[in-house]
Amino acid sequence: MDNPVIATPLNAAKIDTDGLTVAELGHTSKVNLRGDFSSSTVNNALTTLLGMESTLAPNAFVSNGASTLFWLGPNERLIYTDSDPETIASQWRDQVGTGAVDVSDYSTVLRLSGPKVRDVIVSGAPFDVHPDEFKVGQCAQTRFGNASILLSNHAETPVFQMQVRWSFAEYAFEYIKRVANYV
Amino acid sequence: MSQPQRLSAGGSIDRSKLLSFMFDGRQYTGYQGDTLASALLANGVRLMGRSFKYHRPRGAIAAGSEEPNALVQLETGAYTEPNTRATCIELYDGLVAKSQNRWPNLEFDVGAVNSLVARFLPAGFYYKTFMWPASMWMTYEKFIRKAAGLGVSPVDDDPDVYHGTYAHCDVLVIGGGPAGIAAATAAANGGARIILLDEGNDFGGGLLGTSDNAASTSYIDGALQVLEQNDNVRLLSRTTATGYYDYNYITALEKVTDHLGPANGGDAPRQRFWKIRAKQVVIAAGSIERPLIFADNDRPGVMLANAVGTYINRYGVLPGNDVVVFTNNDSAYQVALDAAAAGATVTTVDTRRNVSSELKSKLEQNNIRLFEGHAISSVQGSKGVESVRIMQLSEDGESVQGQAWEIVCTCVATSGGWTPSCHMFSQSGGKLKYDESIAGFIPDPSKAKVSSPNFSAGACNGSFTTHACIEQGIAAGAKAAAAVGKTASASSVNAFAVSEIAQGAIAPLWLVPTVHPVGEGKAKHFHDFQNDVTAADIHLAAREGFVSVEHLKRYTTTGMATDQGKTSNLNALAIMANIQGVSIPEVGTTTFRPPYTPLTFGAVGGQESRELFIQERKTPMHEHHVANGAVFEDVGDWKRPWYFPQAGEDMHAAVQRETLAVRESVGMLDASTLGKIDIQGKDAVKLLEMVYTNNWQKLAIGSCRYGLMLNEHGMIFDDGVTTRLGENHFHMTTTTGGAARVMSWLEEWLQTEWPEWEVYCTSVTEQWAVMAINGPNARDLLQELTDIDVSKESFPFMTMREGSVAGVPARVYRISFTGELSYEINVPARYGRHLIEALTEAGKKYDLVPYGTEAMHVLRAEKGFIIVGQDTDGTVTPHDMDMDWIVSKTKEEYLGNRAQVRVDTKRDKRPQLIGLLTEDPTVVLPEGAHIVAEVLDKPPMPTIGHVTSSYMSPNAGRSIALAVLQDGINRKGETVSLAMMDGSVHQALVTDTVFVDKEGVRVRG
Amino acid sequence: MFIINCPYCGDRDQTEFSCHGEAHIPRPTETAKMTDDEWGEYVFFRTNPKGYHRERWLHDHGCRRWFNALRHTVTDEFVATYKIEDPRPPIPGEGGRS
Repeated sequence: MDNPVIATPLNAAKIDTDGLTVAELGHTSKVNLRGDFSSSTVNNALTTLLGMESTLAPNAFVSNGASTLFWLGPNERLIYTDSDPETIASQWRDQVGTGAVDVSDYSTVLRLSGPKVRDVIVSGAPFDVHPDEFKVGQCAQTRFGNASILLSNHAETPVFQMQVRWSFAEYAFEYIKRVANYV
Repeated sequence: MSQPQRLSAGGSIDRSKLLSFMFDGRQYTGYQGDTLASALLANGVRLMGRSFKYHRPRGAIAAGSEEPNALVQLETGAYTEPNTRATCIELYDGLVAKSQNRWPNLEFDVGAVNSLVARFLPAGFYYKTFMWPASMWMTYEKFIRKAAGLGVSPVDDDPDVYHGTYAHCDVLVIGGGPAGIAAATAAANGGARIILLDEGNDFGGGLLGTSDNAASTSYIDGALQVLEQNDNVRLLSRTTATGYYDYNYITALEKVTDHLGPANGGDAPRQRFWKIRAKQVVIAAGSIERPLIFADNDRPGVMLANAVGTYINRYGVLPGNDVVVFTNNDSAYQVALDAAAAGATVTTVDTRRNVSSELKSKLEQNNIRLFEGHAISSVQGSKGVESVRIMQLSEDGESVQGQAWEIVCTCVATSGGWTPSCHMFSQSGGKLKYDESIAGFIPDPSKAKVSSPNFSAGACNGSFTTHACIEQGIAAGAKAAAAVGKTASASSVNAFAVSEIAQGAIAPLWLVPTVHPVGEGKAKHFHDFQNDVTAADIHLAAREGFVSVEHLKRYTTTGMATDQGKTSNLNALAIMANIQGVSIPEVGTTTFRPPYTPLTFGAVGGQESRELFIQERKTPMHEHHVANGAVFEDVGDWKRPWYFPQAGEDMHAAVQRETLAVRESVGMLDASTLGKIDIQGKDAVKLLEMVYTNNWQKLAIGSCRYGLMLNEHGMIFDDGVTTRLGENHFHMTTTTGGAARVMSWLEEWLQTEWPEWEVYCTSVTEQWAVMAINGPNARDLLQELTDIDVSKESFPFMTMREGSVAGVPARVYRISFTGELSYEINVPARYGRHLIEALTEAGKKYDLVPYGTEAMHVLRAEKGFIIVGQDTDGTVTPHDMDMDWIVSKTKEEYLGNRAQVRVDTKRDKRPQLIGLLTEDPTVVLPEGAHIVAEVLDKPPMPTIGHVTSSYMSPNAGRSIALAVLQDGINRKGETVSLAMMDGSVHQALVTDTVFVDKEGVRVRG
Repeated sequence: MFIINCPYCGDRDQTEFSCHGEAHIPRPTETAKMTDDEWGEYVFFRTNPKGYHRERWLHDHGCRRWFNALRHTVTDEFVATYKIEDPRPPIPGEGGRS
């Protein structure tokens, strides 16, 4: 058997128009983690498994290069990681005794940059992305059109990431493409 | 002569840009900066349309968005738009417009006969005349719509594109006149994020129509320049706030390219719909002048005084060479002076007897004749004013007396005072109060809605001088900024004064008397021009008991239609107050409702049209299906292959072939859309025990079990197979359409009712791409691709094995929705495309057939497997579905348990699932067909059940159907009748629900 | 269109949420011992007040947490939103009745 192709929902599609660049990231390993993030058990697991700490404000994310940890809820985090997601998940279950699931394929990630980014996003999201309100290092689960998204702010230039479920990826991408002409 | 009414100089039009346009088939010219109305008036065209009910000739009475009369059909074909206000259409080269509501043409209109029979068309006419018999309504409706309509809707697909967007700000300023500009400037100075919007193409509001044009323009330009340089300020011109909703959520329509004409906007959207969330709002919406209500006050040429002033000062158009100004307040005197300065012969008629000597001397200096204590008692001319008669008013204003003077004129400029535009404040939830000094309602800030904080400033707050507008604007802007934690500076706003005559002391005269009492004689006193509602109609409504303001509105239709009574509402209230002998505030106001001005559906939809109207969810194998010729079906939001027609096949042939092939060899189905939920935690079993009707404790690791979910009414709401992956780890599947609902159901119970349970649910629907392979050769096919031992002994029915399939990690579930030997191969979604390609390749020697949802439906119906939502409808219990076997007899509690033994759920003769075999095996019953207790000549017939699923089954060699039938389980073997829509009747035998492989041998093969 | 303060995520647009009816209606235990009327009371009957109402909301497009809200059904004012485990905040003007 040949090496199987690792697909993403948009086959690495891109938008490159005046004021907006959008690119689908390649396959990214992701693990959904549950637990009491104020507990030492969780903190120890984060440290040993990922080299990270569990102190994370709501609607924020932190990265150490190899892994990025997103706040999803009071007892829920999402990790993007270079490590093997199945291994992380099973070790988490062993060490913490709570839930951990490999969700690498559940969603894809679009990276948006350029001066039009904010106008494009608020065309579909009822969420204020003004730099005073949504700063670098912050993330938010909201909606874009009818798609639930995880939005994160990565640089002041600006650079945003939009994580969207696999089955909604084409919808979100076409939505972005259409409004890019209008803003 | 072209543009005979155009003044030789003045106005802010660009005379270097001559534009050509067409109205009612005739060519005219105008200038850049004109509206369609100003250009028509410049050409001496006063007649612009016919009225709604009486088809009376009408012209523009206003110069802005309050215009009730001059509605035109703009452009043609797909670009046509009905009911556009000529006063708001910015003129562009090549514009084409038609007048509305006339046939065969505007000058001669057959419908005007309605005017002659007017006494038969009073208020409430439609209610009274067309109420009986009900069966005739269809006929009446056509007649009514033809006779009394406005413009014509386009029939072609809208070629334009639209954009919708959210926006957030600290302070939204609605209205860009002097108050709004001052408010925005003050608030922006403190660093607040501002949106300033105005419906006009230029900011300035009322200042744009003043005679002091140069001073006004330089003031506005100066202020705008500062605002434009501020990054925190967004200026939106051509943008109307259309609705004000809870928590300062304001929608606004921006006309982005309308002013360029059809298809001239390039890539830009035609319109943009703003959904603005503001922390604070400053309402600076201005005010609207009221007409005086005198006999035949609707004749073309009768206009609001400020409109006449605006046409002169802003557009350089004199609406008539002989002008009569008719007023009850001071503000119209400026219009008299402006008209005289423009060269008109002007006569002023004032209902008051105490005009100030200052105003009198100004008129004298300009040779303007003044009649104090007089009123217009009649108007001559039908397609345009030719002259007016004036008579002296009695002291009490109730009658006219003495000699009538006839004054020749082509324009009457009338002012009954000014009505603050409280629409936005009222829509925000605030209550209004009546201010005697201006004879109008103003916002009552003490009765604003707490969740929508706002400040009203300027004319919409009852302060009409430019100076007061600016002062209030500064104050409101500063307060709004302070409320969001910014410090505003009043000194940032430049002082400005303009020479103007404000409203001053007003002497309300709500109905101008004539020689006949109201309602007698031929003359009509219109207060609502757009709906043709007269003072006499209000009297009639009062006589018939419709005195409540909301009843008055519905009965007479006053204040309805596209203008929503902007010029008419207060006059109507006042007339009703007079009739009842009560004060205006005692009558009250009707509710102000969005939208403030009409907006298009296209704009409201924005970019979410066509393929973005609703999300089309696609599986990882979608492109492969497309390449293989799939016809798709919408299942929830998903696009699922319905069937795969081969050359020459119709749907029936394709489905029959696919269905046969599965039972003969092997077929594959994309099952990725099924909902999937990963469930972990030490209380996971407890959760399953509660949400399913059957037992879960003893399920072995690696084993699968079918489960049925009930709501607390005891009714089936979802089903699926759940597999134990580990001691405390399960993989649940749900129906495609029920995935989100089930996920929420689990989370709600866990978070609200059993928060102490340790269970973690995670949606993994899209994590897994799923191909189901079904058929006697499924095992052999799987064997070619996997390292899993697929022998019957080591991989039995209802178990799951992990391993590699086609070289990628997989979970294979041996479960079946067809009754065949079947495997559902789950691989991470990134390998979905790879899996289907590998199956296709390896399947060649087994004649592997891709099949769609329709064949899946036939296959499962052949086995009597239900589909939740097709065979169930939210009113059926497990017992009704003949599924007692899945309901635990030992569990004490599970969701829906108690409802199973309610009187109604355990009663006899509930509809129950059965099979039906038609007498004629070629007849496929329509789904939804009713089983009747007794066949009668015509419907209604007593129904005892209905068909839920029905197909031609190639494997059974005949048609089959599932149905629910009262007491059905006990009726097996009986013959029942099904009545068809066409009157025919089919007989069918009641059977069990399994039509193929009744012993269930194949699935365990 | 409300702004709703998710106790976990903060102020968000109403379209991120869904309302799931009256709050604080616990599922009865030992349901087999209940009469049809008692069961009907639990399943079918709600207070539907004109005034302050405690209701359950879900932050659908956000953190997917359920929480409770005290909302006035006429003015739509949200007096408070609170976590499922939090004590009920008092109803305004009723002497702290919760």
